Amino acid sequence: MGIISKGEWIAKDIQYRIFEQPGKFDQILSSERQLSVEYEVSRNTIRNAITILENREIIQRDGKEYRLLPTKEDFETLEIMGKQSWRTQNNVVLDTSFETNKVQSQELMQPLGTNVRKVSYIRTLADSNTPIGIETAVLPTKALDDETVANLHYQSILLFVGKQFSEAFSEEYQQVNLEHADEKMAQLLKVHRGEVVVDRHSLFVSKDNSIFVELKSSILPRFSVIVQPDQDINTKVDGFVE
Amino acid sequence: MNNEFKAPLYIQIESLIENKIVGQEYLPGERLPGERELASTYGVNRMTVKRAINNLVSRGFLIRKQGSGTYVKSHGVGDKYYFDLAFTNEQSNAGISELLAKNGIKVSNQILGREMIVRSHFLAKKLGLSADDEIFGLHRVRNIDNEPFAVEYNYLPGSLFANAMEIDFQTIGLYDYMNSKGAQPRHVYQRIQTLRAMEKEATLLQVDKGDWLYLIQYQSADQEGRLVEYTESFLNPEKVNLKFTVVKPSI
Repeated sequence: MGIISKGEWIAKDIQYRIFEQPGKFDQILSSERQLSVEYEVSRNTIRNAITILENREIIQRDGKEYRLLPTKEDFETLEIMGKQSWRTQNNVVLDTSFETNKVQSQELMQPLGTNVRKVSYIRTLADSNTPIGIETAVLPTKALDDETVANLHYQSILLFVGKQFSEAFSEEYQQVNLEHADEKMAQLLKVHRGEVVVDRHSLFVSKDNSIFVELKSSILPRFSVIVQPDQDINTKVDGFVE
Repeated sequence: MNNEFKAPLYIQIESLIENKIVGQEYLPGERLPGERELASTYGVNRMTVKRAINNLVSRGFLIRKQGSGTYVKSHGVGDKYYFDLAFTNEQSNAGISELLAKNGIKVSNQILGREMIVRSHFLAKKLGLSADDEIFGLHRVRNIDNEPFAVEYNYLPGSLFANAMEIDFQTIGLYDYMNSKGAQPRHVYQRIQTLRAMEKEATLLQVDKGDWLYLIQYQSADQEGRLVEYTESFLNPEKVNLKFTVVKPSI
């Protein structure tokens, strides 16, 4: 046997076939029995392959059937590039303004006493109202007016920033952690306390330092994907990014 | 002298460095610049820097490692290593092990297996090859201090790396080898998701089945735009934090 087990090999092959011909999903993943005939392996091996695809959130069991899960999108990266992503809706739960203290100034890399506005909102899927995560953004007060805050219901902060200031940004710092939801977050996201969320902490700073955005997002794992695109490579893979 | 009301110089330096640690400009596990470099940065003499660092060491902000330098202390449970995922760009392509080595962390590799693979449509597509082309596959467990932090499955186009089966990847870094073939990863497309550890990766990473892991998929191209790597990397989030610095290409 090679370094890739039969189950892994078949999982990859099914994945390839699904993405080549998404319309034929039902035929490709018809039945374990048929797949085991097709690949000339045991039903167990097929089950193993399917488990891998479920584990990677490519397919999901739905009763006796399987269904193809929608391709995950990195909405943060899309939005900062000024592109709309999934239809999501936001409910603002916090809106406050203050002058930065020492620690906050260091975090934002800005002078002491900078006037900032901080907003938090829950992001939900527009059609089902399912919570995806919570985002908290800090911007200079002058960059975030009341109208923009009112519009956050339809347009998340990065989309606003991406449309408004995209050209101005040269660098972005990001950190990713897994955190456990505390009582309050669990309540807002309708999950159990202690459940894992993907924490992403970004700081965008413009070339002339006049605009900055600090964003902390806590996204539920099944909605989270982080993509670091590269112009030269994206053209090569033609959307084959699972 | 006009600074009689100011704090002594070494205390000013101490608080400058402390601020950078608190402000996470220096991250936990990161190596501090050398004393000589700090001295010239701040325009003070080396003794002043030494004294400031001594204070920060005794206050628990920094630790000294014999023969390798001074490091920002990791706080919280266990030691976490920061992975700067922008390890490959126009300026450099260090690779994870070299990157960690810069911070005084030694990575060792355990080879799970290697093979020239043919007829994987999936891998061929990822590398822009046809299914009949050979693909070199290398499966490794990566350790820090003999503890696994990553399981990595690397796939490279066989035509560019014809002698890969003869290379000792236990001691030779994959990126060093790729560099030697003139096919250095310069552009990297990365996709990161979380998933629950399945039996195989759980065992290799010494975690429980069902624990959360990061799965990072890399697709890299070299200077000429040839796809030279497709990698799947499973990382234990208890051991690593991910960090990026994304610099927009100047137009």
